Amino acid sequence: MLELDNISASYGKVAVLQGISLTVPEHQLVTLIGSNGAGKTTTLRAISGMLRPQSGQILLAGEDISTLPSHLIARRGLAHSPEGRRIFPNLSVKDNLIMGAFLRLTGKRSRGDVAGDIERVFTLFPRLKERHKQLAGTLSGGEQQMLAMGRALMLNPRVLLLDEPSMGLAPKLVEEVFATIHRLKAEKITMLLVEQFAAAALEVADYGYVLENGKIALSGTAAKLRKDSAVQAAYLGGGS
Amino acid sequence: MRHITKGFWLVGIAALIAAPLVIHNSYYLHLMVAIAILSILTLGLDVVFGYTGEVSIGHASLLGIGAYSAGVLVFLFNLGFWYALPLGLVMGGVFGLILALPALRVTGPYLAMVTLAFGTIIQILINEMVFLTHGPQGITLYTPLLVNLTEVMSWLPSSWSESLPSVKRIKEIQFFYLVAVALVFTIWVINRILRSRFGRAFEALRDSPIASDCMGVSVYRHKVLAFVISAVFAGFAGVLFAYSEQYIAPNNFSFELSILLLLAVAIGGRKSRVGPILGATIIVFLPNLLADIVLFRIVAGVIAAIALVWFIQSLVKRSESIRQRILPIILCLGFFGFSLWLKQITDFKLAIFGVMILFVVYYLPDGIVGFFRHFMPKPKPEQRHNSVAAKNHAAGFWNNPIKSANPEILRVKGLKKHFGGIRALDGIDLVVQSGTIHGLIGPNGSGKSTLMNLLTGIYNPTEGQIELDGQSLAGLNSSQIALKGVARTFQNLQLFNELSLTENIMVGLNHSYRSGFLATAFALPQARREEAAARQKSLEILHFVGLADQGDELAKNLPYGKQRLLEIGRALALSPTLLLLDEPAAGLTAPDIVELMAIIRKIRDHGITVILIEHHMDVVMGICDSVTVFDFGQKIAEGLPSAIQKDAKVISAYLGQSAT
Amino acid sequence: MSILFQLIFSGISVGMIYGVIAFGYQLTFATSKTLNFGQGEALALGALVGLTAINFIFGTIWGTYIGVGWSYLLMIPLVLVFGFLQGTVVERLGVRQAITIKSEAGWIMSTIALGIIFKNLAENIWGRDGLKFPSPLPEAAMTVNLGFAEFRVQPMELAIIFGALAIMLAVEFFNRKTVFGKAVIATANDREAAGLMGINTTRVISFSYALSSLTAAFAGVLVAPITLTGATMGVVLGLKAFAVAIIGGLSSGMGVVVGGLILGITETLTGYYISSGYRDVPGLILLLLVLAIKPSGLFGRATIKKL
Repeated sequence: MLELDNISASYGKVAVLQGISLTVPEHQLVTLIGSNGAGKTTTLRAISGMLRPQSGQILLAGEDISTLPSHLIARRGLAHSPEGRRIFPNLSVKDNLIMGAFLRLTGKRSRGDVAGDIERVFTLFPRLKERHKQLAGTLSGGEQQMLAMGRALMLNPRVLLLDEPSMGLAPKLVEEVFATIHRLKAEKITMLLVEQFAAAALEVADYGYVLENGKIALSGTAAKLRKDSAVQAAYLGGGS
Repeated sequence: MRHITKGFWLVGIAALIAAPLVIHNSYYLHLMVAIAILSILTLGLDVVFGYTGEVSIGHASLLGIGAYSAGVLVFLFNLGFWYALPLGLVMGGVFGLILALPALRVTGPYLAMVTLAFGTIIQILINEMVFLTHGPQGITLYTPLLVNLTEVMSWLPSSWSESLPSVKRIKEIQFFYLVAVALVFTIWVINRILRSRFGRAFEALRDSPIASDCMGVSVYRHKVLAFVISAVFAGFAGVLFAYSEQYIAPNNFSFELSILLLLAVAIGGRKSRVGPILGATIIVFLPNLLADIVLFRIVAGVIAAIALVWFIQSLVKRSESIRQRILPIILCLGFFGFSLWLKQITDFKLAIFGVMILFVVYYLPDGIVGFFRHFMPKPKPEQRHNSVAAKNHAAGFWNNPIKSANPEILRVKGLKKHFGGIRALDGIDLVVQSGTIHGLIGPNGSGKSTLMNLLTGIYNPTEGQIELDGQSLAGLNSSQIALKGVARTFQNLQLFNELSLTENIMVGLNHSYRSGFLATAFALPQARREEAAARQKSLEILHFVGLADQGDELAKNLPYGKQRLLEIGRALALSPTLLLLDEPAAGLTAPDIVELMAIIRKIRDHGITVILIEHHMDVVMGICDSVTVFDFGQKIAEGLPSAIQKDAKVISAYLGQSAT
Repeated sequence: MSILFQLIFSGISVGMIYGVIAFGYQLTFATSKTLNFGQGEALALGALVGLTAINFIFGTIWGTYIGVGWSYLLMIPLVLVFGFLQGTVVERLGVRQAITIKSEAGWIMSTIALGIIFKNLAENIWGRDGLKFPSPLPEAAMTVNLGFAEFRVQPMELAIIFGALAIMLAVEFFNRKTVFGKAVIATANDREAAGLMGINTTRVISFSYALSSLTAAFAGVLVAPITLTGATMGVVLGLKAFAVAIIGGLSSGMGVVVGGLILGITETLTGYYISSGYRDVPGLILLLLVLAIKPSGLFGRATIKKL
């Protein structure tokens, strides 16, 4: 469904990605793990057009999207729940979700049942329903994270990118977020998940890639990576 | 390079001296005087517009303030040029201060908006305040009085006492020389300022305002300073303008002139001395150009020809920018065609003027000087100083930070920071022991960087106290906190990219200067001594971080790992008591990390307390004396590195709950 | 007492005009952190196009049947369309490239340049003299009696107040209630994230410029009947609106209304009690004071620095 072929990208003079290749098959959950500054977020930004890659191809359902701007990539069915949530603070919770369905409401993607999907997000995250009239900026960190995920789901995406959904959340909420990811996986949503909690991510994922200094250092099925001694030492706390 | 520029200026001065001897036509002499006067103004405007990047649309009014300072003195008190000169400078400065102090408090287009409003209102006021300014009728002045030099000469040998030498009104040529001296003086002073710590600050605050503030170089104060400098020169130019025209009226200082002045700096080339002078020349000739259709066609033709040559050159070189160059070349040719088609020009003067501005903004952003710089061979970085000398004094820069009796250098109590509904930091207590390396770890988003930003005054806490060495930091801004001895590095590098390594460090050394602005502007001995000392010290610091042999390189050309070290060096220049390092090892290779750890240890051994945020556990465990662990905005553990490693809470925080 | 009410009333109607123009500044500043320094020219062009349109409509054979009032109402949609297009042109030529190349000062200079060009073109088309704009409402003032005070009101001044409120409310309604309007707010909040939603943010910015010029053009036909219409009529109004935008806060929705009223009333009071020559002075002083005391404006929110 999503395929990266030898993607390189940089901020100014600093090269961040140096030839990344990875594949996200349909209905699968793939995770990208690695230390801070390895380029995980940059990879997602390159996919969704927030940063134009210098070279390489990004194929979404066979079509090269590497030179398209964000809004045209979204039109092709890619949703991105970005690092730092990036919800719209001056819109209400419900309006944030409506913005997630912007393309469906404006006829650029098939409309389906928008109101029904909003209800679906509310059943997934009951806390959002309680606060649907509130301005999104007043939500707590955990609620904003839920909103960001719900907003991305409102596109009815073919591929969903999730960037550190656990960031800054209390342990209980982290658990809740992972439970939600489990449910989305059960609904057969194609996902690429970037996570700092490598163990938790590998637990839920089908396949994993390990990123180091802008390169793929290792890849394999999640089960295999969980047992890999190098991965354990570096990311799973196995070394200590 | 330097002696070439020196030669260039000597030729310029010689030309100024020779000009009146060659040009006898008083009309052209008057044009040259006008160019010199406007150059003084545009050179000053460049300090604001070119260096700090702020836009002023009120410089014509500041010129008017200077001119009317002269005018009012004549009109009300019959006092002449020599009284007007200081008054014009002061009035320019005062009005500059009144505008800049409020308008520069916020970033954004505020200065442009405020100066634009000021411009209009000053014009209205000059018209209205008839008792002071003679209103729309204007004021007539006569050329300045000067002692009769020939008389003085003839007296000198004999006796002094007979009588005072008589004074007389100077002639046009003498006034030209007067203005020429003023111009040379202006160039000299502005060069002094821009090469001093002030000039470095102007460049630094554009590259990274946050880093400037955190180096104790207040962005706000320096922007205000830049504006006041330019206002003083505008006032200066105003006095000269009044005496050159010998008649001033409110219309002389219109909105259009303000725009024209901005255009002059932009078209000539920002951040240079030649550019604004070139620009002033262009705008002085512009009215003539826009009055004579034949001349206009010739100039449009020449521009089109230059553009054509430039385009063909890029075709030959097969440069990648051909597509970007098609539009400007078509515009240039079209403009030439338009000039041929036009029957008469006066009605479309302003529209042509507007088109010129658009063209400069889009296709000549670096001005004419910048355009021709592309064709010049790039000057090699000059080896201005001897880096060997630094090695002998290496590590001599440690100022032995004043060790406080207080064993607890930093105390944080109940610190909270909320962003809307997000509790980035939710009640943190932290004590850091003097002379230690204190590690802060925790998952992403746990609040470590927020704490860093609170400690350095980038954020204001929602609640709670921060005490540095027993003193509260409440209400202090970033640059004040920096001057109290808190230095930092940044997770996303915040170097001054357009400055050399040495200059980057010297910005950090800004606090070490005692000499004031005037001493610097006039290059008094104390200022020169301090500059040399700072340069020496910056070399020593560069040597300490292992970058001594690259001192003249621009910071942006450094490899990533070295940039991190440079940032640490810059922070050390502040002679801090507390040094905050925000993920210094991020993106470094293994050998770089070893070097980094050695450097951090050395810093601690010199008595500087270090707070270290880091994700590389081997670094944290290897060098920290104690470690605090954050999660979801709270402190979840604290203690010796070895104990932390075994703490169940910490392990689960790092693995995510669902893994347990 | 009566005179005071009289002054306050005219202050309000002038202030509402300032408010509408400042509202236009806010629209573009929210989405792009830029604003049109040639807004005054957008206003003047709107008024001049309106003048031509109303004369044309009134000049046709139906003119005598429908009268000036209806001609005026028929002209308004034309002016709105013109303003919309003019704003698009300003964004395309003056702002878009400056935003792409992240030029700090480029957009200031290019919007000024466009303003100068528009003014010059207007002078060549409509001439340099102020023209009389036919008033859609009776020009004779009505007397309003409040019991304790009595003052005279020009019907057009009342129309200005209601017209200004109507256009601002219409735009606010659009922003809050429609999907496209919400997309404008989303873009203003976070441009990148809005792009991820599939919103073409470049077009949203262009649209905000179109709306901004539209409101200015509308303001132009509102004031035109009580003043002289000409290429330079907008210069001072545009400037006053700067002051209002800063006083009210560039980021606050309704701050401009209050800011406009404050400035309008202070000006008429100064003009009467001190001297008509000095009526423009308090604007600058207020502006500097507000910046000195509360730089984000009386109703503005302070922005959070991002690292």
